[in-house]
Amino acid sequence: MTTFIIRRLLFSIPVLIAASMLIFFSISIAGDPLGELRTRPNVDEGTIDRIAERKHLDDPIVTQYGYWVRDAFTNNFGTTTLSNQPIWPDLKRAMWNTLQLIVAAEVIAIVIAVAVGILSARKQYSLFDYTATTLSFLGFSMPVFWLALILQVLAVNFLEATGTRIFYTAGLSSPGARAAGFFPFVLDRLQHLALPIITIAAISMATYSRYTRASMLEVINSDYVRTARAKGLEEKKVIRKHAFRNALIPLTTVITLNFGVAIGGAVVTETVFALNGMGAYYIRALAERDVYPVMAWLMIVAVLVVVFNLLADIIYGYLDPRIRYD
Amino acid sequence: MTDDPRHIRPTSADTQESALATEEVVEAESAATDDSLYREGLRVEARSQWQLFRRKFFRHKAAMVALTLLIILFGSAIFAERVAPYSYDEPDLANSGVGPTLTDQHYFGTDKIGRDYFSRVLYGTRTSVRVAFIVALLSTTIGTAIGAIAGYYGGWIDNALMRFTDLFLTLPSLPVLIVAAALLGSGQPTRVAIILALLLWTSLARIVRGSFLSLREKEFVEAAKASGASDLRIIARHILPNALSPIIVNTTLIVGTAILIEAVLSFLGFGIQPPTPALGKLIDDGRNAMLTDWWLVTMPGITIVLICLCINFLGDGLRDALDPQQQG
Amino acid sequence: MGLIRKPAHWLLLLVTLSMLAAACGGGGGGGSEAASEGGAASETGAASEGADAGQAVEGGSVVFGADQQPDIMNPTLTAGNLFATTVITMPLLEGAYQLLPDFTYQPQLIDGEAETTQDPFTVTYTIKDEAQWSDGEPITAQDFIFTWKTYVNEKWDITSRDGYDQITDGEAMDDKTVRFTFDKPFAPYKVLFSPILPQHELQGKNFNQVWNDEVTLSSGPFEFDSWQKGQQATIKRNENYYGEPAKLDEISFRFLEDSNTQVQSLQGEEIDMMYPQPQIDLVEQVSEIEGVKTETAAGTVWEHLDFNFVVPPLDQLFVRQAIAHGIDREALAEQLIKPINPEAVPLQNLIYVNNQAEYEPHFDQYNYDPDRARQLLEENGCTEGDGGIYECDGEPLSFRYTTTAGNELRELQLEVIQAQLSEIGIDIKSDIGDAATVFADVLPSGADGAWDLFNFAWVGSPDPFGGNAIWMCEGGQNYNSYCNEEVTDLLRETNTLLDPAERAATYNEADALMADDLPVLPLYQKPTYFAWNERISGPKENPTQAGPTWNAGEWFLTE
Repeated sequence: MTTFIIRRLLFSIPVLIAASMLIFFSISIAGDPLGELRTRPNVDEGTIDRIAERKHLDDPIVTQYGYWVRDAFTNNFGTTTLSNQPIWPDLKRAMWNTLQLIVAAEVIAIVIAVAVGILSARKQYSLFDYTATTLSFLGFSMPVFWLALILQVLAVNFLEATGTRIFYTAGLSSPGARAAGFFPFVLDRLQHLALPIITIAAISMATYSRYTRASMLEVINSDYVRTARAKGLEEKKVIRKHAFRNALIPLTTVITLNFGVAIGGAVVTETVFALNGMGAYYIRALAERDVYPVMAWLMIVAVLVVVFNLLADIIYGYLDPRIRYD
Repeated sequence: MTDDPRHIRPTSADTQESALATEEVVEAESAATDDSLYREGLRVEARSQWQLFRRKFFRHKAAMVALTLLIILFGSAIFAERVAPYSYDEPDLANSGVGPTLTDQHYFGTDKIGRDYFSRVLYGTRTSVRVAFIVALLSTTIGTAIGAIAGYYGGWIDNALMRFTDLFLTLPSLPVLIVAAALLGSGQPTRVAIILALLLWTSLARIVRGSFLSLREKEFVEAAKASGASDLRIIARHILPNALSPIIVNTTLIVGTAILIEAVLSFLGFGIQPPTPALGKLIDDGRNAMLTDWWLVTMPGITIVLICLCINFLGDGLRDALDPQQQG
Repeated sequence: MGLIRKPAHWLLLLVTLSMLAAACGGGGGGGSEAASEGGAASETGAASEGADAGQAVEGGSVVFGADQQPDIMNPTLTAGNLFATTVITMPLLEGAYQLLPDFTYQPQLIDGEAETTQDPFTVTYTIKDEAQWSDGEPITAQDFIFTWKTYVNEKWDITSRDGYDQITDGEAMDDKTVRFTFDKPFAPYKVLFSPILPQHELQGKNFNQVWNDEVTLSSGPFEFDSWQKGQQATIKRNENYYGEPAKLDEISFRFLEDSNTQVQSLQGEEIDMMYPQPQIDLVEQVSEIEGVKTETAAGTVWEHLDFNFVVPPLDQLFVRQAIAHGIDREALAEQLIKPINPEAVPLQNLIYVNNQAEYEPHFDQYNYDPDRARQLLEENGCTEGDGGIYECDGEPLSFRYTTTAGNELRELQLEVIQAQLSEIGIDIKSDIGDAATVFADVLPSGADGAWDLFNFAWVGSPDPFGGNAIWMCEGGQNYNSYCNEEVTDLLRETNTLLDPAERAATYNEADALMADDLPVLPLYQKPTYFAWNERISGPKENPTQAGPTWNAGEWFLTE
């Protein structure tokens, strides 16, 4: 197993390097972070020149890439071009915000999806099953941003109609919430995150419940479960002891893989709900054609994807005794 | 989805190796064709794969409904010029901000400069369909080619190609798409389609590679090799037809994915640019008026949901029909 | 190997995870339904301060929905040259002159107008006796001199040194009087020394960094309180303000980048004021919200259509004139701007805007006259060709129209202009691109023919000297290769004319010449839009770069 892990990690390194070069070159060639500055009347030429020099913007691309690599390792990914602010603290904050959203959404999605999936499999072709299936299909046919918008409108209309506010529709916290004490703060945060969480959880739930159902069905109809039944074990025990955990194996893989990409994937939800997370950070950095923040972002997400992919394989190998890695 | 008799009795499918070489006996319960039966005059007819597929597919009610709906939707989108009462860029300020109504054929109402929304949604659907089909075609071709070569040859070729695939998989698709769209000056549907295809082929490559890895060990491949067939011929004429089912299913699903991603890209402002209408852009434009002119966001949204729903059901039906190993 | 964990362990893991997530401030049990009066608690408080309805209330706080987060808090550096920074720092820092909503300059920190002499050109400021910083230290001549030195210091990333680099000497006559000598007359001197920087606080520090995260000392009615990056910045009342103290306790600026979200937040009372980029839908939505006051004005940002002189036949006057007559600017303003600002009219001058006294409508000669447009084309030998498009010298009149993506106003403009111009036989091809690329690559490459027609906006200023670089031959911002020596000379002269009337006349002379040359067709000023909850009294729209918080010290809550 260890050799497998090491080999995978070693293979990932050239992939990551190649990916970083690809992105760095594309953005550097096609964009000029000082471009917008140049079009503003009466901006001092000397200032522009000095910023360009400080960031080596006039050097050949390969040299610039070299500077970036150095900054990435020794200087926490460096600083932004225009304002010379360090990137890492902002990125860290963005990651933390997105993490809150993703973790909560995934946990909710998993719990509900597994329950629904198992029930669907047990009562295959029942009304419950059909309803759940249709809802799942609806879930992964719906564009995320549309769901987000609808939820926003509903929340606002609810507020208008009844005068009570359950959910907030934008931002992470109300002003002054932090000062109000720990529990009011947590409650306020929950109220702000509720709608985005529902949005993301709904879509994840759809996928996970289908997976659970499918693998549960496969397990239920498999030989060893039939054997267990034949041995006279009561159905509940059969499900719990044998079917359940085996059925969950493929789901674990899917969840782990999904988590790896989720960090970079909540872009749309964060835009609609004005959450200051990874998605918003990325869009802003890209709009300014600032290579350093974009690279920092992509590298972190790429590393996460690699790690979680590896993790998924390891977990799968650990759980399923039929798989052996050499 | 149907009350498939396979649940009740074991079938030959359980014992076959290659899923698509199934034969089904018409009258006899057992799988074996007996000389005795022959002599008794009972005619045993082997069903071809196509007939088998057709039977299962057409019994899948949901998929049938989905297919019909899709034909209607795509058909009207492709022939938008005939179906739409207006063009997509006819401002008419006297009639701006009108809700869905039957007067003047403004079935979906009008937008803020009075353009007929039904027509705009229709043309937008056409753009989406065009993009989605180009994406599906391109990514299937690329993915199948790479997967086939990797799976067939194995060894270092397989390794290299899989590492190449990893390169694309490591980068998160939406952010990279956004970068590509921003840099390559998107806006034209074909450009966006190419960019999308370049990132969506990876899952297909993996699946095809998996199929090829197992199929190349089959006897019919050995036989073909023995008779001197070239590699290309073996890949294309012998193995590929047997690997078709996951390819077909995946391609169908890619169409749905492409439509969704294109909508997200246009919504974020990185996708198709005006004057070509696009469903995601319509939703983005209508966002600010959501509370008063609700149809601007709802109509394109429902269209997207409907299309994807139908594609998903269709894909489900295809998967059920093509893969006898699949249970329910 | 391969022991399978018991399902109980699985469940435990899941439960632990969700508890951890909740404890870290995530959201544990699905969609907490605390039907809260948390609405009142976490809101902009103050409402419950007793007193009758309509009565001014002491203190309280206001939440301003900002549509952009500043990069840094220092408004003088390039990275801080954003409206986002200005709106927060305007109530914090005062300067020699203040820009009023009527586009005039009024003395702020100085006692009466600055005195000037002609030859050599000097400006003498007399600082108000009572003027002091928030730490109690008086504002002195040394602060003025320090400000000058800071602006011209090559080490700092200052946005614009214009004017300061012409100062040859700064002399403190006494603590409250300072005189600056210039090497040549600088007519726009009123834009200088806003804001003033505190010498005793900033001397010796790294100016590129020191005020990035907070403005440590202020001269205005508010001082800096805190900045939670990504969420909000707060300013609080400056107890040591030399003038009339502010009524409000504090103002919070919440960063909500999405205008749609802003509208909803205003409606849901999560914010009290907003100053968004106005779009028609947005204005409609806000007007439906009860209890909200709005004010709109024509701003200093103005939209225009540029002709690239390097691309034939756009270098021919009659072609430009035909295009100008073929566009119905009145209708455009009517359809696109009037719903926001009912008083909108097309802009007819490149130097001054509508609201200014010096405004003269030289461009009104380009009224909508499609017949005249066709006449111009035909008089000059153009004939109608395929599809009704005119051909001149065998070349069809077909042009690329470049503008930025994601801007609804510009998209609509494009559609309408395209339709209008096709009526007179001119074909327009849309070339919409992403703003960053379009401004960084396409626009500056005009001399290489990268674009034919370009639609974007200039950020103007009450004192027009900053725009000179656009119109002068070889000017730094002259992207369409327009060159008229006479115009260039006139513009160069304006910086040295100290008599405002003479200066305005010279500018207008240049503008009249440009109206005849038609290098650019001005369209209209973009409206500004200010919306606030009516329990706040005092906000007044200031369409100049001073922004809506220019008089934040006068705001107070009622009821």
